[in-house]
Amino acid sequence: MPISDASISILRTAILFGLISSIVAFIWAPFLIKFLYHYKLTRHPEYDATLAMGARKSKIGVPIMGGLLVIITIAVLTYFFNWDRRFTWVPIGVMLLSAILGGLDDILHVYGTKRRSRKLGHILKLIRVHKDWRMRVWYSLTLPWQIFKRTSVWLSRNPGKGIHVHEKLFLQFIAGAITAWWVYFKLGAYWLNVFVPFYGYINMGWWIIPLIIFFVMCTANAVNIADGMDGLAGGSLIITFSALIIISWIQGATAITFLNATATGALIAYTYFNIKPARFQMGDVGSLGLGALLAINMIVLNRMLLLPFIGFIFYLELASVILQIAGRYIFGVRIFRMAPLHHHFELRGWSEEKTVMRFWIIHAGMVMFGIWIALL
Amino acid sequence: MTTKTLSQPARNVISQYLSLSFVQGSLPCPYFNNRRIATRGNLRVLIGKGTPSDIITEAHIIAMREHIDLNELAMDQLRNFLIDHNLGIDCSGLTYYILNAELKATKHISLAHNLHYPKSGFLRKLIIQLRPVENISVKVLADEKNSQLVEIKDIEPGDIIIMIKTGLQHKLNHVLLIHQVDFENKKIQTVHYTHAIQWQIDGKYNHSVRQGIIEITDENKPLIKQKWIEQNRSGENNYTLNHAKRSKAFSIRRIHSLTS
Repeated sequence: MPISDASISILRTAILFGLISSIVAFIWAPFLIKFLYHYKLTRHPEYDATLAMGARKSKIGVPIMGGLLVIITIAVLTYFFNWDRRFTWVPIGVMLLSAILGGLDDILHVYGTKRRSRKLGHILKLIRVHKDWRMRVWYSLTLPWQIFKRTSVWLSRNPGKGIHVHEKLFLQFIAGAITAWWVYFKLGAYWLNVFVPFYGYINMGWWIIPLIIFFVMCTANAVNIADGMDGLAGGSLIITFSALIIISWIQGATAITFLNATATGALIAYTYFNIKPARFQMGDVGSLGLGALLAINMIVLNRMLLLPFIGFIFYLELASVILQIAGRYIFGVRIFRMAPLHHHFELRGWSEEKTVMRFWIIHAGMVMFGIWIALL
Repeated sequence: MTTKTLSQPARNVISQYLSLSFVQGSLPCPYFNNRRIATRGNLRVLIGKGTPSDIITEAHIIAMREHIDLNELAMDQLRNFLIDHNLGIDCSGLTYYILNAELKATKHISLAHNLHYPKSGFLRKLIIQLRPVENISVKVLADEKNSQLVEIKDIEPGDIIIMIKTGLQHKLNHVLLIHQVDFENKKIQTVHYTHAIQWQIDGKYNHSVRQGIIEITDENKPLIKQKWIEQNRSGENNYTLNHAKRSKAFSIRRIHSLTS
């Protein structure tokens, strides 16, 4: 069956969005690099152990927050040329919220001071012995939060100067909750049905809310974790968002198709500057924002459960971190020499280029598989 | 003279602990006892229960994290680095890995799954299943359900010498593993042992996995009355013998799995 002229026109416009986005990003990238150098928003070795690896020493002093290039380009172009009350404002809003969280983390890593974190035993003691009864009440009331905080610190090992893990998780939860609210109350009944590969649609009812929060949090963190090598996250995201253009175009989700094309175009410019030796790195501002955008995209396209395929390399990296923590605390062994997975291969002697390109190829293969399932 | 030794894989484990390989050379694995810092739920290599390769890999990872080039350290600096970062092996951990290699080579079974653990309770049993090495102590090895007493004349490679409640304050338990026995006219002449220990005179940095010998001068006398030689020291100057003498319970035992 021939493709209709209207569909071809949408695809042509989407490609135009991609091209314009790419050109715009290329034009302002040098200014961003200059800005990041000027304010010394660069990688510091004291909070990044991997910089001591022989091949990674050259990364010291490279600007972070290069992800601003993609985030701002997407947000501005979408606001002016693709603003849709129903489909684009919440994805852009949640992307910006996550990006602000990531940006704050990046800035605090450079300009912040190390923050104190009381041990749980100390807090329990203060509840018993603090001379001011109001403080004893305060510590008692905030105890669940302190337990959550200490558990996060315990699992993440080194909170450093930036936003602590428990705060990050809390804010990501809010981003996920906003998405869930939007899907549950604004989009309509169709989005309460989740596509299950090889089965069909299952009506989730209000269970869609925790599922959405889970996927937004997971995906944002997964992209964040994968952003550790020059070109890895950028190249993989180009593959992923290109796949999303195809899926959204076939589904007839025009605004989302244009949004994905804009993201792909901006990512092409970003990755041009990010391949080794990188002129800048994505930073949390880009990885958390784009991770959230990826998750929302899949939710809007009703292919949420395919995220582990469409975002394969990100989920693989996330799984490696979870396995490493589980191995450490449950079995007392390191499953990988270092997590995330790309560092494991680096420590085994793979060059950065080899690791990145192999990851791209594996990712592309799994994304193709994901598209195939998505179109069933 | 005839000699009985452990199997080749078990001997390999011993030699790996006696010479941890680094770029600039090899050094014996330091002694580490988690009793001092009492860390829980950590990597086994950081609580004195790591394999030689675990220790070497962890040393490289810690060095990288602390921006230290391990390859540029002198041998004594390297040893100090390991000790300062709690990288070492305790006596029961060392015994476990050697006996495990022996059992795998000779009986095709693993030691951890053929031991009885005196501690009960569902959670503890689950932890033991997940982290067996960390739960093997001198007391577990000395338990009646895991090992049996052995006479001096019957000593064989793989037997263990148990010292319960030793040390100056009788708070330590210690185990030595016999890796070789020399015979003359079917009579035991010398017993060779391997263990991980820290003597009082070792200070902070001079302890490690070590080997020593016990010359059997009279089979009818108890083992602590024989001639113990380690680090060229014997008699009162041999602190391993002093540990043996101070212990509240001293015995030579054989793991049941080795006999079955």
